[in-house]
Amino acid sequence: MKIIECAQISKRFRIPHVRVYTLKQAFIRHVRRQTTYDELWALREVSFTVEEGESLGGGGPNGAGKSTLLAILARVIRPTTGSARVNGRVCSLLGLGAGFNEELTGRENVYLNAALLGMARAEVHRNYDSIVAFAELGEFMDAPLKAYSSGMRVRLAFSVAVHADPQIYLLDEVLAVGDAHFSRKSAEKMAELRRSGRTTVLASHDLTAVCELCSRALWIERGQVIALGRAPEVVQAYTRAVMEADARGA
Amino acid sequence: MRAFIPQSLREIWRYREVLLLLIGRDLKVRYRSSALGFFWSLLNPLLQVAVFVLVFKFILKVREDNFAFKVLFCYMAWMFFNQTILDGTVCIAQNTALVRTTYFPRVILPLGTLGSNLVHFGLVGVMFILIFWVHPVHVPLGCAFAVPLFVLLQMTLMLGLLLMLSSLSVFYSDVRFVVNTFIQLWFFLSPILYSAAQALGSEKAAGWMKTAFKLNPLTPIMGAYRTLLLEGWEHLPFEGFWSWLGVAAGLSVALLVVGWVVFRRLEWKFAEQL
Repeated sequence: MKIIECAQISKRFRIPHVRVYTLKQAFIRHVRRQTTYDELWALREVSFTVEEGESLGGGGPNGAGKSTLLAILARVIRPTTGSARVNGRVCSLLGLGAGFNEELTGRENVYLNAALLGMARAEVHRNYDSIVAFAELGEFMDAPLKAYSSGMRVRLAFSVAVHADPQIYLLDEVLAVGDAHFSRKSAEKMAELRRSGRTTVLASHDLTAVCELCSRALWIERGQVIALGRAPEVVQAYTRAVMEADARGA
Repeated sequence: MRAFIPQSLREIWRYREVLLLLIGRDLKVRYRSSALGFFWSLLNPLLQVAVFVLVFKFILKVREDNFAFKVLFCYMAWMFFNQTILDGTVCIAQNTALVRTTYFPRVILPLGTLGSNLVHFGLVGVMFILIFWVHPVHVPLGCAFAVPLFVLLQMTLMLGLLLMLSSLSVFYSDVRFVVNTFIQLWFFLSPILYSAAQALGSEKAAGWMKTAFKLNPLTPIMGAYRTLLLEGWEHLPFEGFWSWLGVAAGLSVALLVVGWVVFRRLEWKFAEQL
């Protein structure tokens, strides 16, 4: 089953020459017809599909459009043209702990964050002990989040995310959360989830990671697809292109 | 049946648990941040009204029966209105991290603000009933039961404003300042500290001023809170009350529709703009 279908998606950002911050300025500029802007096409006619259980790695230099693509898949922004169909529950690890609130306790944050990731209350209830155990935060769950260290927050957020049981994970850069111990544990968990048939889409400029973690790779540059295919081949082509460009430059 | 409910509304229903959790979050944060928590928020309207009574009854010598009760109830409803609009105007910007990374129907955010403030208003309302119990005043029961209907109308008005202000303030930072200024003026231009009949009876006010006053949707609403609770249906807040109430209802619904359209058109750009 095709779990992600992107057909000809393009995304245009308009960057005004003068950033208008207030209604007053907007009104004056409108009256004087001074609203001018540059257009930036972050994505141009990108098409690809992802089969269920597959892992796709998006590689390319900074500013290639990887994050824009992930944001579209996460349904946070909408493509200017084209269509992106995602047929399953998405958990984006872009916003690890995005709904966290400092004043609430760890427990309350788990419930809120899990609901935002699409978990029903009963589901969170069933998985609560397991979430806490995985995060190794047993004795801290009734303390407010502001008492947590940044490592503890990330552990909790990651633990909720892996228990959310979505069909698709979206990752921006390879996740290394917490200390050495937890970062190994989280990498193992992600590998386990991939083996169990979860689809992952990873955007990274770390090509070794793309090669290791993904079966297919998408090479994009300036918003355009340069190559799409089996990960080792695409990565090889990309590395060669970068080296040639460097050689020309030098 | 399902086919008749627009998809956008079904989507909100699907996210009802998130909505409830966000309301819970707002309330917990609000009451937990200070030691006295909820009691501070009770003290505020009581002290305010005590000062109003001092100024109006004892200094300006306003003669009106049960002045304190009327103003107290109106003021509580006003605080509900005021706080919701102020919170709601910034509700998208305050959840920037969430909006930029996670999908959910954005309208949950203004709805959550409205919801948490409604719960707070309800709790304050319970306290109000307790005051009646300590200091008995005759309340016509039929009228007391009509109060929720007026609250519903007030909330329709509030939701329309919220949808419009919350989405516009993502794009224009001066919306917040405009709201802060105008809401204060709105307080004095609505019949909260004075009765609608008093204002309309003024000989110095021009005809257009009176029409504008009656066009303010809060005029019949506050007027109703002021008189219905203590005086019953026989004393309408002002002449032509029912037709102006209809106008207020029409305006509120129209505003809700416009607010909804504006919000739906802008919501896809929130993540890019923030």
